[in-house]
Amino acid sequence: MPGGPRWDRRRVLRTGAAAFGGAGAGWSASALVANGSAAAAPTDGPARVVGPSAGAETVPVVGTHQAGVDTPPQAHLALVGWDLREDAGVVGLTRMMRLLSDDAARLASGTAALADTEPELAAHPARLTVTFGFGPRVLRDLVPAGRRPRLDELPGFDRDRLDPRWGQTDVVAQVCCDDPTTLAHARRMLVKDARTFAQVRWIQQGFRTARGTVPDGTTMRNLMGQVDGTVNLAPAEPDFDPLVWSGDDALAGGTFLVVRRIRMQLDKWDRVDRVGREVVVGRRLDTGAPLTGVTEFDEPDFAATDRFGFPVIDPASHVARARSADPRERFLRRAYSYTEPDPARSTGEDSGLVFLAFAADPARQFVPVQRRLDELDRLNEWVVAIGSAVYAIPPAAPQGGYVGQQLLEGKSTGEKSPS
Amino acid sequence: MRKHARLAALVTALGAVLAAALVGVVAGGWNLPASAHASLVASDPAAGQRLDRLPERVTLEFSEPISAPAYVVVTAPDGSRADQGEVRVDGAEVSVALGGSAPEGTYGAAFRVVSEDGHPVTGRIGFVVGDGPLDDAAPSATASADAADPAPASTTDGDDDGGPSLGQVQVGVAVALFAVAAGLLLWSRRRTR
Repeated sequence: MPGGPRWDRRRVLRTGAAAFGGAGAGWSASALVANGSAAAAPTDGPARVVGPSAGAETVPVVGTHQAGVDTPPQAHLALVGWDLREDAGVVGLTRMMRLLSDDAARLASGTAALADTEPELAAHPARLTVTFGFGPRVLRDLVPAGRRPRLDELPGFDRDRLDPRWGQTDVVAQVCCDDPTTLAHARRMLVKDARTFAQVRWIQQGFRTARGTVPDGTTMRNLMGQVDGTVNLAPAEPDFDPLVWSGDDALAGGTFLVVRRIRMQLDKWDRVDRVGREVVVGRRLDTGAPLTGVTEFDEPDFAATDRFGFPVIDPASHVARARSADPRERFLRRAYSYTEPDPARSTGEDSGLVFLAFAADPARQFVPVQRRLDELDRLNEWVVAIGSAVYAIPPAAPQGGYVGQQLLEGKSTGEKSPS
Repeated sequence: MRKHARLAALVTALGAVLAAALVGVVAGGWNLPASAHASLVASDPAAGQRLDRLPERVTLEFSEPISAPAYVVVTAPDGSRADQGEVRVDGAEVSVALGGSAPEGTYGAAFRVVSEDGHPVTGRIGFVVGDGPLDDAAPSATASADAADPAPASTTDGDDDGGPSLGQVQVGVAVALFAVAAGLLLWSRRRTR
């Protein structure tokens, strides 16, 4: 390069060495971080294959459970709700589940789906999981009574303002991934392959913090700024299995999913100062600690009083109302925030939470808690459920089979042995 | 004397800075959302009122509608609870029935409410039944329920557990500024003498 700086050999070599050394250091550091987080994961949870990059990580299906339930929540969600076409019937549903299960298994392993028109978009699975579920109508009409798990629709709650647009559907797929591009592709593949059999009613997109923004395992913050989900079941807890996985023989290895689309009135929330916000929830905004505690996981002391004799944690606060003395009234929360443009609203957006909860028995575990909150919860002034649905989540597909096969065809066909 | 002139200039400059800071604090305070929030505007019985006998209810009126539930504890002079039954919330009014042995003396009605827009208000008013003395410093019946409590702080503007309220901060800063100004002034005079 005439006129440019002279690059003698030594300098080129030094620069190269520095570049490679730096890259090497970066690589080691990221590998150390990835390995460190894998080592910190609970050993009895599903194994996670750790690759050199977050994009290469996969969540294999282990044992009898579908992935995406006890999987640490990925960064992004696409929840797809389908209504079966009138002529679909059990044959249609079977064919649909066979196709979609195959797509899901391939995509989750980083392989293109069959007839994938954009196979390159499947190359970085980024912990992709697809979890399928059936609504009450499917169980009632398409599953023989002998192997039909019991699933009641949620009772009506006074404060709900449900929009059928976000209502109960026949089939659901919870598609979660750390990468939004991979997620969009997987979702499109599934919707494409289901089109002959079912019509999409809604797609609920959601997000948490991006992978790597906060240390793995940090409790999420919702869009109201609150630390949300401190009291949650952890796979390491002895109560986890009986409270999450169905005890019903008809759904062994499966669970139930409660979906609640909760709109937040953030413009109204803007008018509440920090002290007010903390009283409403019963927790500090900065740490998520109960108002009687110092750190996030301190047990709230509902008996503590201030100098006037009033409880420090308002008995009508969210924390006090959500808490149950009955340890069975707990479930696995896996919520995602949502925010969508909505020019019809003065704020220009619609924001809230796609509340997802897995429970072995929603009627016993979830409904009593929601009843209490419906009755009284200071937070109700700023949140309202606009969508509600419940699904049976079948166990993992049997070897060589598809998700839901045990329900639709019985257990005779290639029952997968529990590991 | 040049030294005195310099000192006087210094004091003047400091005074100007203090005044500016004070204006800033007060003006800034008006912009905080807290000052726009609910407060106690009246009560029946009124704070500091003297009554012949225990009234049937104590009613507190706030500047904004209150969301249920609200909490009111009325303490009799002998330390017993004089409030009976549920606290009633009706718009901006919160009330509770009174009863019990009704001894003479000072009664304290402590309240903790949350306005519909989510703002907590905590405070206390005192009133006297019979001829006994009014033990508490009588609070005004307006927003300054914070004056009702001899403890470090009670508030009507958003601090529910003992920190100073905005009003107290404003007053405190002002007092501190004036104290410094006064000190400097005295100091400068002593030097000039």
